[in-house]
Amino acid sequence: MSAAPPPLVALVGNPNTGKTTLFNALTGLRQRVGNYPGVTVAKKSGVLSLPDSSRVELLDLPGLYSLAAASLDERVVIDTLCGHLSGTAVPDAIVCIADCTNLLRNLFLASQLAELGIPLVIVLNQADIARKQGLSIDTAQISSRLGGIPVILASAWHGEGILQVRAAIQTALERKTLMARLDWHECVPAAITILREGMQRENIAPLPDPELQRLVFDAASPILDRVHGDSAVVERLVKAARERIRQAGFNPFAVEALLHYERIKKVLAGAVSESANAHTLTQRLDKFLLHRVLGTLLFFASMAGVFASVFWLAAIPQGWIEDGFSWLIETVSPWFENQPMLQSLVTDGIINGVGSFLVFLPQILILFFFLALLEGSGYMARAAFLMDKLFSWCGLNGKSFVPMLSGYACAIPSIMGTRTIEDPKARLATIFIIPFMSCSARLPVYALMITAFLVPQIGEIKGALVMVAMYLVGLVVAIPTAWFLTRFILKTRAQPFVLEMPRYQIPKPRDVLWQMWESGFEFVKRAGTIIFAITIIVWALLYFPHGEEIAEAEKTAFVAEYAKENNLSSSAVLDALDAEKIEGGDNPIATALDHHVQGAYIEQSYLGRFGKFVQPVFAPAGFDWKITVGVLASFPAREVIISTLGITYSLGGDVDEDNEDLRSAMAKSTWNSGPHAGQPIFTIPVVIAIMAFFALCSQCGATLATMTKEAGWRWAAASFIYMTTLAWLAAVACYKFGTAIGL
Amino acid sequence: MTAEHLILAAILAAAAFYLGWLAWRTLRGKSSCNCGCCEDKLKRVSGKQTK
Repeated sequence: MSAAPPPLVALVGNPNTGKTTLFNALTGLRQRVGNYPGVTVAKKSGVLSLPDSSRVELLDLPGLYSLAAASLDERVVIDTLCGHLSGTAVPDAIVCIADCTNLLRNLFLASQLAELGIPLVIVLNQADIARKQGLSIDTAQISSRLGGIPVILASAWHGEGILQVRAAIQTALERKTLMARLDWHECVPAAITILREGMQRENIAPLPDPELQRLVFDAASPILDRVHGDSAVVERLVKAARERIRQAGFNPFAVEALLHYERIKKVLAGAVSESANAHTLTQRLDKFLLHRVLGTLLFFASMAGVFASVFWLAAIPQGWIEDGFSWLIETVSPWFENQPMLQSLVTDGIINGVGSFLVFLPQILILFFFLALLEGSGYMARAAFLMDKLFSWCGLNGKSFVPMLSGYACAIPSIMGTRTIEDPKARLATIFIIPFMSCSARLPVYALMITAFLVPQIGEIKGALVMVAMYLVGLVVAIPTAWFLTRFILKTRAQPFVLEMPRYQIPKPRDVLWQMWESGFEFVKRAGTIIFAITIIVWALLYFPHGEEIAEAEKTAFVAEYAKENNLSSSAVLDALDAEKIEGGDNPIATALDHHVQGAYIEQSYLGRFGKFVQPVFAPAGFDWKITVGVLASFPAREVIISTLGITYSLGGDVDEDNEDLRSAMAKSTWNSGPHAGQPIFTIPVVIAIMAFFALCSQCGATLATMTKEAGWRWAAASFIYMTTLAWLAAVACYKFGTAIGL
Repeated sequence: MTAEHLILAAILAAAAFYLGWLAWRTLRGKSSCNCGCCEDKLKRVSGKQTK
């Protein structure tokens, strides 16, 4: 016989009240804390120990302002609390967290929750800030006015009041004290009775009163989906109930808010004393940071500063990592002296491939450090506000910017984060344009191209500006795409955007370091899993067939060419080669032959042949077969191009004592044949074309899979075709234009 | 066939199997990405959304 499940306690509250922080403090689990809605899209649960050592399951539900659910994640909350979520029981108690600096608005949700008839605990969070603002709160008075339910003053951020919250949850579960319900005007119960009796008459399955209330109060309640009956009949009954409220002189859609707020004002009267200090630091800073012109300029300046720092600060640790991998190759290589294939796999393939990828770890860590600082300080929500006007113009819901911002880290959680968008059409348009945001996988590609080819010519500051431009390219393309989609295909209208502006605060070092650790760990994990596996396969495809006849044919051709160029006989060249070998010193002829042989092996490898077969498609963008191979290999994951180029240049004999790293090897590579023979492959137009291609191409298989899951395969296919075509066109345009103006 | 060939064949087979498994999971929607956070989110959401 299995033991009874532990009691279930739901954690509910408005967005940005510190709900996730409280959840972490109570359960010890870690979860990313953000300043904007959409971070807690899915529900999360943890185990909470009570003072009497018993355990309860604590559910962290998405933030919501009221029970009038509109978005998908808000529906999850309502469904959980009403017991409609499969596999989840009705909670035994609810912990409602409220921001005690804005109790009037925050207690609205608590007042609504009272209707559910579930024991309630109210946690007034951010008590430290309330104290700083000169607020004094009499929790005992509030508790007695709400029917004696526990009301706790806490500061989850500082761990204040956590023990009291645990004790209050235990009390709520033991005593099952319910919050006093709103004393409704008589028209509301009368309207609910009309609806209930009408449904009974029409043989429609009954619903509990809280759900009937939602049908009456909300213009388009998702609860309608659960009513089993003729929709026209249900609509008629709801209309009749609303009419009863109208007869009493109330607007049925506003009566709930009106009466709840009247009640909360009475509850708070005398229990909260407010300070006269209206102009806080946050308000003073917002005058500048939310200014239409100054705020926008400051936003772009801060982003440029972040990217410039990424280059400056990362250069030194990148050098250490490169030195580390060179040392590793020197150490490991002799272990496989008698196994040339395994030696090549380990050094040219795995160490060079994974190493060229891991070199960008410092840049990832530095970028996420600064982004975590901006997010933790409360600035990111301001950035969303500044961009709202632009998004409203192109017909998108203002909420679209929030998941798009997180799309700069990874498109996958961002696509899932669009569930906060109520309008399904706006949601589809947002899902479609999210992959245009430059995710962290594109950063190594930009960083490689900019540091290897642009920084030496234009300097670090201009290099940083190019990086900012690459990040903006996606946005510049996404805006007209969204405008076209919303205007001509989806035909949607912009909707109002509600975003809570969190207070400015000094970012908590623990959270900043945690975010850096998370992003760094994921980067290293990818290097050790998918990049590692692809590296092995790519190495094999670039190594085989490795027949002697290829070396012999190349040697014959080399000797003939060398003899012709230097007016020598073939036998003299062969003698020179042998003589040099016997002497054992530096042998330029033998080294040159070795480079030719390595080049021939790689050109005649399976992937080399395939790359050369496909290369004409990318030739208009100036890509050679090696870049083409890198581009094709990176369709499952963008950053694979780095490891693929690392292997290609290593196997091709381009990475040696003179060219210690991938960047210098690429910088020295030239066309072997064709109209550009002898010229550098990586010219400025080619480098810009590669970055433009990666900025716009739909290359991540996982993103397409998530898009299929969230929006259907047609949208995923349309996105792939549209983005890939656009990327190719942009690459060709950049190359042609750059070449035409003589770059 | 030498021991070196055998070792190499085993490594290649393991890498190909791992990539195939990842691709299969992605297509089946078991995991949309290789990072843990997305995998967890998908697990939490899948099958629990009422409509």
